[in-house]
This record gives sequence, structure tokens and C-alpha cells, in this order.
Amino acid sequence: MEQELIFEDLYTDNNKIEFYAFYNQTDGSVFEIFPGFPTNTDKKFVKVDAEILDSIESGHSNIFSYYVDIKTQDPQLQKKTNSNFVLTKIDDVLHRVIEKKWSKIKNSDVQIKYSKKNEVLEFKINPSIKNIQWPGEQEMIFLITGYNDPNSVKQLIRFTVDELASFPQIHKIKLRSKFSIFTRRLFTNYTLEIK
Amino acid sequence: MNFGYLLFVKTSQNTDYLKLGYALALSIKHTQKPGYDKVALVIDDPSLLKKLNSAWVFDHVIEWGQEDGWDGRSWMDHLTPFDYTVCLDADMLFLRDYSHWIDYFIENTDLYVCNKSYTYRDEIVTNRFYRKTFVESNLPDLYSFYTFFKKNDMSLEFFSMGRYIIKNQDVFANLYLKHRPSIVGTDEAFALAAKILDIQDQISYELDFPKIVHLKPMVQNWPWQSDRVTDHVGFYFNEEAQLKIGNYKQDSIIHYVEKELMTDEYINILEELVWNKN
Repeated sequence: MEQELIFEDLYTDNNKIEFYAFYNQTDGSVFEIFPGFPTNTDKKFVKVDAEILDSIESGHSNIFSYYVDIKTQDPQLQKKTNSNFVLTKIDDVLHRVIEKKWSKIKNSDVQIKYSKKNEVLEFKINPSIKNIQWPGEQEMIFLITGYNDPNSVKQLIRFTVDELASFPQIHKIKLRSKFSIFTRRLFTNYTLEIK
Repeated sequence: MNFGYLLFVKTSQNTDYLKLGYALALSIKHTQKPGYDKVALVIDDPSLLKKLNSAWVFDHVIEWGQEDGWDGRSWMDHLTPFDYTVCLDADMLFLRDYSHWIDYFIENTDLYVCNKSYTYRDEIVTNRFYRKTFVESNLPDLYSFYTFFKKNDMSLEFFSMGRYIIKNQDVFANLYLKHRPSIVGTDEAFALAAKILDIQDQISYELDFPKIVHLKPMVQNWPWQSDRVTDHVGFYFNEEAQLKIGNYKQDSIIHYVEKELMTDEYINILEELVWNKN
């Protein structure tokens, strides 16, 4: 009698294909999942267990829902939870610099002054933090916009933290009586003074 | 026509409700046409009005501090100086002329309680996160933040029942509420009153207005949980008192919920607009 070949037989425990995930060695983020044991690679990888694989295959989660806990001796894939989630608030990436007369900030990290008479916009860093080495992002970007309207950009001003720490940044610019300045928040406090 | 808006504010350690009510009154004066722009304020300490630049935006000031918290709103029928009244929450903002809504209500109804709210993207709120009591207890979905009424027997009966429920909330909660809130608030009391009196179809039938954008974070149809709307989208109030939330220009009444959004800067904008109008 002819033996019937059943497709599922290929997937007995002995023949089951293992899946692995490459991850970033510095932060544990997962960037690729693939079948078969990897050879000839310098990339770090961990085995993906069947439950996680099912979840990804069925669309219940994706690879970005997981990370590798690199702090442990035996790194494993872990599901991200709310405690891993850091909210980037809109006010941190598009912060409106409040005019000094409406602000409760007494001692700002970055002071911006606009002279209507001289049509000069001046940026200064607080002397008390001038000599601190700032890790991470260095580029400061300021959008000069219509009043409280970040979509209406009149001008864009860029400089680095080092440049600001070395010298006040002065820009000749003619602005309407009402305008706003938006920036991504590299420092905690910014103030604007219009005279 | 003796129509006006009625606001309740109460002294609080955490929030300056008078400031919020003042901003709302300024926005009413700025946007509504004469005859539809009267505002009455119910306040426990009228001496606080001295700190306002333009306290005259309140056409009537009624000293009253009989009830704790927001329970006082169930006394709106007793306290209003108007024949036709819309009672509002203090943390709201008017952005355009809504007087045609008032014409409709005066012509067609004795009492109307808002029965839906909108997201900042103009979608009807369907998320029931804050309304578990209403869903599980099968209550009509009433929002007391916009309540129109005429002084007559129907409104007297409705508000009397609301007051009675608030005064005896343990009894009513045990009898009628399956998911019991920590406090039976005005929304729950009005919904229960409407249900008990069997007048929900008369006082809260389907209408396309009033349109109120409710900025509670969990009902914005976002695919994530949220503590504050302004963590995710900006609140951009310009010098003409026009408002954008994120990239969406707002036309409806805004119930902004986050009390600190109403800054002195924005109040100054409203004050200048109202001063220039008069």
C-alpha cells in the first residue's frame, strides 16, 4: 500500500524550523526576525520562542513590540510594557516659548530677546549652565511663526549648543508685533522678551 | 427676550474657577450677538470679582454657596435670573456665534440636555471609558455641561428630582446604578431624573447641536491611552481668539477640561477683543 505523505509531518518537533532575532547590542531593540540558526555573523541574536512567533505571525504583535533585555546574563526577548514606554510630549518637540510677561519662569536656561526698534532677535544661554557639557542632540532649531500658529513659519534659525555657549546668537529680522517662537526642547526653560 | 448663560463657580484651593468662568464670559461677549450674550455668575464669594479687569462681562452676579462642589448646578432653575437659560460648565470656550441654537430651543422645547460630545477632530464620541455607569445602568447619555431650560413646571419637576437624587445619592445609587461612581454627579443625577420621570425622549432627542468638543483624553479615538490631551496635540489660541487643536481648526464650543490651559495670556487676548468690540 502506498504511503500517504502528510504535509504536516514535515513539522514534527524534530523538523521544526527555529526562528531567531537580531538585536541592537546597545539598546536591545529588535530589528530582524529570520528562520534558521545564523552562521557567519557578528550580529547579536536570540532565539524566538513559539508563543512570540505565533503572536507576530498572527498579527497580534510586531517585532517592535519586543526588546532584548541586555542587562541579564542570558538575554531573552521580552514584550514591551507601559513601563518601557516613554511618552514624547508634543511640548517637548514643539515647545512654544512663552513671553516673559506671561511666564512664571524666573531663571530661564535660554533667554530670547526681540528689539522692535533695532529689529534684532538675540539668543543667550544662562551663564550658570554655559560650561556644562551637553550630551546628545546639539542642534537648536527655532521656528519664528505667526502668533501661536506653528504652521505659519516665517523663519527658521539654527545653531548648536556650543555656538550659543560661546557667543549670544544675534539675528537681524523684522517681525510683526505679534509672533511666536517654537523650538524642540533641548533645555527645560526658555523665555521670550519683546521690547 | 430674556435669555442668558448661567455659570457656577466655587472657591477651590486647586483651581481658579472664577478665572475659567471669566474667560468663558469674555468669549461669549466676543462671539455672540446682542440679546444672546448675557451671562449670570453664581459664586460663593463675590468679593473675588475685584481682581478681574472687566467684571462687567457678568451681567448678573448671584451670591450663593449653599451646596458643595458642583451639586449647586442642580439649583440652576432657582438661581437663574433669565426666563430662558443655558447652564454651562466654567471650563468652556465659545468660538463663534451659536445664537441660532438658542432660537431653536426657545421655539421648540422647554428643557434640553446635551446628549453627545465630539472629539477635537469633529467625530462623535463613542468611547464609553468615562460613562461606565451610564452603560451598565442603562441611563440616557446626558451631559449637563450644556443644559437649556425655560422656567416652567416641567423644568421645576426635573431639577427638583435631580436635587432629590443628589441629596439621597446612596439610596438612588443602590436602587438604580450597577456601576456605582464614587460620587453621583450632576450628569448621573440628571440622567436618573430623566429616566425616573420618563422624559428622556422629550428633553434629549436627536439633534445636530449643541456641538461640544469634550477634551477628555480617553475619548479622542486615539489608539493609545492618554492622561492629557495636550501631551499629544497642541492647543493654539491665536490673537483673533480662533483655536486650533493639533492641525484641526475648532468651531464648536470647547470643553477644555485641563484647567491650566486657560492662561492669563489668552484671557488678555479675549479682554482686548471685547474692549475693542464695545
